[in-house]
Amino acid sequence: MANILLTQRCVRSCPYCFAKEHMSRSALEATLSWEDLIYLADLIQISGEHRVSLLGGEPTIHPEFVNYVAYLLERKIGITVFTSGIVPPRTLEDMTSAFRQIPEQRLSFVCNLNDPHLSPPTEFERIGPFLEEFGPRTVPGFNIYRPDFSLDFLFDYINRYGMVHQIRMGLAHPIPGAKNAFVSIEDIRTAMDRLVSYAPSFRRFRVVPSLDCGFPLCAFTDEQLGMLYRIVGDPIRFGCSPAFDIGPDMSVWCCFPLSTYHKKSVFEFNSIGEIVTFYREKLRGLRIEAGGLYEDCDECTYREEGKCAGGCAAHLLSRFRNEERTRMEEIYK
Amino acid sequence: MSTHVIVCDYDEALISRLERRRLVVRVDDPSRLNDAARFAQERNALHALWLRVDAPLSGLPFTMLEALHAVPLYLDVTAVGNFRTWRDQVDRLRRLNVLVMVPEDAPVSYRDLRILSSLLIPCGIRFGSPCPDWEALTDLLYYAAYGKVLHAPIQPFHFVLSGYERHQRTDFSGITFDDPSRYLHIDSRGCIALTRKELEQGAFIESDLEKLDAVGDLPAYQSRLESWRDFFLKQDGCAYCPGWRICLGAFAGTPGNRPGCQKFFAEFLEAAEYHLDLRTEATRTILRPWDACPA
Amino acid sequence: MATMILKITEQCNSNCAYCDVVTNKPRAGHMPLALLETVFQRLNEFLEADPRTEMNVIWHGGEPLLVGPDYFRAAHAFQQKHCRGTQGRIRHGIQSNLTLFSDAFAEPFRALGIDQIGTSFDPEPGVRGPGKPSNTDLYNRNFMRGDVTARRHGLGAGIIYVVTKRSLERPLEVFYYLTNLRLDGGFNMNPVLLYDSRRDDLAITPHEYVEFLGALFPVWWKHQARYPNVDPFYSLTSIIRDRELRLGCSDSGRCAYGHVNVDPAGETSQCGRSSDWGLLSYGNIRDRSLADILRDTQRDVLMERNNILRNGECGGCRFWSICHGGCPLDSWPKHGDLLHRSEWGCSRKAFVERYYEPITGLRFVPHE
Repeated sequence: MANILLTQRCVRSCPYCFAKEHMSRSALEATLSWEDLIYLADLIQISGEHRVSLLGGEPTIHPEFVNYVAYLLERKIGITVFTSGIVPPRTLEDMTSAFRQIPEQRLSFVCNLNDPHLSPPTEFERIGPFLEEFGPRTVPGFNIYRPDFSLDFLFDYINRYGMVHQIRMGLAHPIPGAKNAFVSIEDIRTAMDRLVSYAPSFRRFRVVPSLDCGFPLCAFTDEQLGMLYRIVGDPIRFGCSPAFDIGPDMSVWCCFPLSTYHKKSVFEFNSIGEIVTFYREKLRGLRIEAGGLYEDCDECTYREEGKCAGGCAAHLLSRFRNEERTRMEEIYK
Repeated sequence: MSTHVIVCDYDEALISRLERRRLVVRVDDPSRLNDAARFAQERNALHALWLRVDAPLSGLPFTMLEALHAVPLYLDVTAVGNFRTWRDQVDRLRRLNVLVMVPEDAPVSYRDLRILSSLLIPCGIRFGSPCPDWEALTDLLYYAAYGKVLHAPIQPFHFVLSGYERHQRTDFSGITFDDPSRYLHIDSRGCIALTRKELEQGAFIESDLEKLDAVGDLPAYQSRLESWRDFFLKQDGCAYCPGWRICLGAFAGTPGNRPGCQKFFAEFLEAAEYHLDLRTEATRTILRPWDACPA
Repeated sequence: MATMILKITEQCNSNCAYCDVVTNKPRAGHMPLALLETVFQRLNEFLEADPRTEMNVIWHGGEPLLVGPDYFRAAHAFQQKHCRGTQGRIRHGIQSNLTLFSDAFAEPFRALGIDQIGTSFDPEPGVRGPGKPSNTDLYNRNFMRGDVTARRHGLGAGIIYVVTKRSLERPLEVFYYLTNLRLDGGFNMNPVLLYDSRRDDLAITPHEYVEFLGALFPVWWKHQARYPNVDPFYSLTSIIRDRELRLGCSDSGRCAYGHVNVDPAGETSQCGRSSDWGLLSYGNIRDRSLADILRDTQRDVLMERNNILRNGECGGCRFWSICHGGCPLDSWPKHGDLLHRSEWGCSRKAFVERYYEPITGLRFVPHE
């Protein structure tokens, strides 16, 4: 599924921000135009896709946000909006009147929430109005960027706003060339212990954690995996594959952590499938140099069998670019 | 009887004098559309209803339009307006036999045309400025000519792309009813002009409506049909441009216009050739030997 | 088939810069009707004597429409009167500048079976038109009017465009102009033929002509379907790609016994150019039969030229079969005889080798 950035501007400044490096290199004022939105809608349709994610920065501050969503829905394209929940009041008003009748399957939100204790005091007051209106179609998202995180506030939000009983868990990764907060390789297991320690709360509130890309399988013990399975019910994937993001200037890259790696223009591809194939190949190139986060990854049967990707490729790229330039030329492009 | 389609305002006295002719009836007030359609259809073939308003599409009374689903509607508006204010009308507009025209000199028009077309609503550009935004026009041409996803026609691109023949001139002025070989414009007094602009300027070719059927014989009319040759009498100008065969000098006479204009129409001609090849391919008989085999 | 160039007048309503009729001779009047009647009698004699042959009559001038439509009606009447049994083997064509064409010509033209008018046109100022300097504007307006009228009557009018020094400044623009004017094709770009320094502002060299064609050819080749019947490209393609031999009088090497020019006084010559230059005079049609004129021994030199060139200047040239040394008359101004090759003929070879073959990837293979 394509991630489309409507704008590069954001209303927050998260310490782990994946987009930091990309944003620092791009024109902040760039916003996706109607012409390009229509081009992308066409591209999505000729690719046989039916859903798209709208991202930012904060996508709702794009002046045409409501129109864009309405348009894509009219094109029969389902939408997931990734938002901070801090939505301009006028936009929220327009969203409310325009989207109230839209089925949740066609329009949903992922609201990325930070620990209130580590955020500016007014942040949650500003998120409230959005969640009041759209909570029932919103999945809370949380990014782990330190091993001592807390999830308690999320269960509170889910109950208070009737949010979807699911938490989309992200693991912050290093952005090559940027200084963002992330969980170091050494701390990943500690962070996962912390995550599994919330199993009783997940069960109690009937909330399902879903792991985003880049979690290594071996960061969990068999016992922990068993506990997670009891909560999640489905096989948990430990993948790392191209999510690919499309910028407002129609540039495309593999994912935010790899935004400096083989950035291209959408116009160089004829379908979404071509983009995915291109970046899958590029990721494979990285994996040829090193299997995963740990030295054991090269020999790991779980990796060979495709049960684990070996963690986030951004760790590898970051390492390669900080060492002497001895690897395949592809790595440095 | 003249085969021309007659373009006139909704004027019942005038329309009564044009019995059994094909009409384009122009209305400035949406609330009169239904009356105009009903009256014109009583004794005439209604070629189209032309609504000309200084308002965006979003400001039209859509429920009123719905009653006109069988009538070709030419909606001449200033823009389409804020999408969310008319998105609920998309299905209704698709059901109508509609052509939404927006002005070229409004920068939002290029966006609006893409929105309309991509939502399968036929639309078009109304040229006004002698020097359009050639770059934006070229981008729109690419969208109209080479877009891979089904979309509605954008005029005048569609007219040219679907009708271009290599060895004939292609005149898209009929999109705005300004092709004298197909349309004649008549004012309330029955004076006849060759284009809407000439009608508004009082430049009539005939002032007696009774002579409508003889207009085709008038030297001035014949001369207008051959006026394309005037370009060949100038030492420098449109006749020297590869794209002339599909523009016929529509944007002649504007200083500084030529490089952009020429580049655009050269691209347009290539697109027209591409579509001609597609059409030819589509109509080519494919040999299918298995069809001839007995079961 | 034999060809008769019938110059019924040497008067012209235009003063074209490169016209030999204008520059070389005092202008004769129109051919008297009595003489025209004789011409038809001669035609009949000739065709009756050889039932297998046909005659192509090209009405020429000066400007042949100056004689008026009644003249052509009279011609038709003479044909009816004298060629009752042979008129089916007489084909009529006409070369006119079209500026005088009117509805009145349509009916006699139809009667004579003329459905094509060969014409010439170019938009450059000062090249064509009445007066000195030439009033191009007036000429072009009248041309357009005549063209409209001719087309309305279903008469096609193929255009000869004469490439001059002015054309060299903007070859592609000229090409687009002509293709726009003739969307259904039918024009030929010939080099201006000037043999002295009177019009250095117009004269071009064979090399310049080749470069002019070379500037257009890639566009034509890419869009052949869009630009049909543009010569010399179309004819060359017929010859090289389609293996169809389409040669004009100057390339065929066969003009010797098949061409005759009849001027307004009935004097005959090989062709229009030889007549204008006072060469190859075969006597008056009043005094000689067409058969005698076409067998005149002066013509033998034109046949001998083929042998001389093939064993000399043109020996080994792979383009011989489509050139034959070019028009013999091109040899005259430089050498004072007809036995040398034409440098304009060689320009065809240069064009094919420099542009046609590299661009198309086709190679000319001589015809058997």
